[in-house]
Amino acid sequence: MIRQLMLAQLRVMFREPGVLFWVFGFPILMSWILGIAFSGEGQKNLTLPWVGPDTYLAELSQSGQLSKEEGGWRMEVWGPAKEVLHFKAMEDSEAQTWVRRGRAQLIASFDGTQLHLQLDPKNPEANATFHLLKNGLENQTLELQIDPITTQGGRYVDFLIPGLMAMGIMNSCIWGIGWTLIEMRMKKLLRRMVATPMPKGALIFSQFLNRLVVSTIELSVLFAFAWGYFRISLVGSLLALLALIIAGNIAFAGLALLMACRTSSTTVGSGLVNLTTMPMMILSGIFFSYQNFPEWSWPYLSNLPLSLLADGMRAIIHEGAGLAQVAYPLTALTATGLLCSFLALRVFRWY
Amino acid sequence: MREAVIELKGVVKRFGPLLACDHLDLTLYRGEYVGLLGPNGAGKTTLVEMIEGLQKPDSGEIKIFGKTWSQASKELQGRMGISFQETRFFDKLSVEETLRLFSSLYGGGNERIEKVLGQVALKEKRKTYTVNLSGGQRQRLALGLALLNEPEVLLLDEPTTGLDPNSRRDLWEILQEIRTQGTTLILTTHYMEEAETLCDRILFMDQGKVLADGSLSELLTSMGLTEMIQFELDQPMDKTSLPLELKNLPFELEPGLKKGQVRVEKVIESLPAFLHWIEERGHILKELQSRRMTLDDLFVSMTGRGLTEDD
Repeated sequence: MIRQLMLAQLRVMFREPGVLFWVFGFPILMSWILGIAFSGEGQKNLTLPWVGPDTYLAELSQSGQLSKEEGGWRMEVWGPAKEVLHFKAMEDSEAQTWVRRGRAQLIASFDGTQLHLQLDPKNPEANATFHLLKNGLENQTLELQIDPITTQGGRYVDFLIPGLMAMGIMNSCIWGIGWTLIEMRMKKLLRRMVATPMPKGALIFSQFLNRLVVSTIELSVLFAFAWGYFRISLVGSLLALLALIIAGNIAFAGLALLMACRTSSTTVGSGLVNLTTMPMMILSGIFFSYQNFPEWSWPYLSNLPLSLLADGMRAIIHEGAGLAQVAYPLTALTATGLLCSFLALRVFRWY
Repeated sequence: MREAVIELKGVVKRFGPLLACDHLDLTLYRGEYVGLLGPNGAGKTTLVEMIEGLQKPDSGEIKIFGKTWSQASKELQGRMGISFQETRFFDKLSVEETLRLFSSLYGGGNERIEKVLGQVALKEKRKTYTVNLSGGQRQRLALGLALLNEPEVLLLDEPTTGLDPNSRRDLWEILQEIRTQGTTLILTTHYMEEAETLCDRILFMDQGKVLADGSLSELLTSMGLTEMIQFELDQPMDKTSLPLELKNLPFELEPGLKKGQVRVEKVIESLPAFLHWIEERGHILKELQSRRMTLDDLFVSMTGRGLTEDD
């Protein structure tokens, strides 16, 4: 009996191609992607901003621990895996921007006696970098001074909140529009509605407006919480933020339409939802910066819709960006949404 | 002069190698209650969906109120009421809210909703979520949606499939009441009884063709013999020993020759002679039934298959 029960369940599982992907393909794919991000595979480029004169670095290079390279200094760290740290001299403001955008988690400077390291102690990546650096400086008799980052913009939670807001818009559209349409098609409800004199555009537009209202409320609540609890305030323009929310909704409404344009099976549908949202949740720098991936991939990753939206939100909320500064993400998101909608509606299955 | 409401000329629809509609010519008139009957895959749903504008014929022409779908789709949608084989609604929307939504899609307000709720007997369920409705209530709601725009043509695709006999009869009653408003009804069904009860015109479909077209009595009399005797004997029957007045009747015997049936013009005339013959031969009658012929019998005699059989 147990054997037949198991056989029946296995048969059902193996006859569903989508399940096979999620059981076997997806974990491999995930470990591969995350492996690239977090292992030394492909030479991880950890670059630390160095603020102030680099005379100290030159001094260190004489003891052989550092070597000069183009645009900065390079330190090889002895350990189970040979890792390389790069130091790049820059202004303090630029260094702060690096941290806010998740490009670096640690800023180093030297005041003549102490090596100052600015980092958010609650950020695991910053801690890892710190230990790496400490290993590299092992035989230096040197005082390390840790300056915790507590101002808005540099903390991990500052990185996280705008990303979560962007993800909220994505999920709201993908589920609220994409999934709903698939379900309506499966129930033949879509077909029944299209058989009335209702203009088809009215259905799509009402869904878009709904998402806009819902996600605006959702984001306001999330932001109010972040303001009250983490003291995150809006540095940039509210108008730009609202515009970005609209553009984000256009982009993801378009993607949702494209995702839902043919299928009437909720099994395929849930696979499609995951296929759309999962890669972006990992690659778009929501929980950790996409700058953990190889450098050649940054231009691509930064142009994913979710990356555009999240980076834009960070720029407005923490860096004080206004409409002009987010013109590119606004345009790119709107264009993506319109293009996807156009394609989707050309092949859309209404019946 | 009867007013033609729906006209089909040479309509062909193929799905791959399958011919779902094979050069159909058909005219339906205002106020007619038309039953489309046939086994699964006969082409009923395809035909209905082409009339509804949900599918396009490969060739031929369909006109409704003298207009084609490409000419006047919005107008036609507004003048038709339709219900599919199986529609589900928004789960957590109540009956009344669902009606209100669809009323707005037809460009109407809420003034018809009370009337429709009454017509489909769902007044007590108005606040119930659609997901909690029974099968019969759900079909009545689907019919309610179809009635919202006071349609001149009502197309119902298997409105009672899967319902218990009581719910089925409830739905028939509703449809009989609407009849007085001059609505044209096209209904597909597997159930002969449904067509016999509701429809004044019956179309038999099989393999994309209309095999027969007429009222129930027309169809039955077209066969000449309208009544039927079914019997079972204790031993094989020898047809050659039948008396003259029974010999020429179309006896159909099952293998084993004990069980069979015969179509006759009048049971009252043929049965005494048949019983007399049985007694004379010393047979024992194990089962005897006589009845009017039904659409089912008619369909079997035309196609050699039952209506509810799958092909």
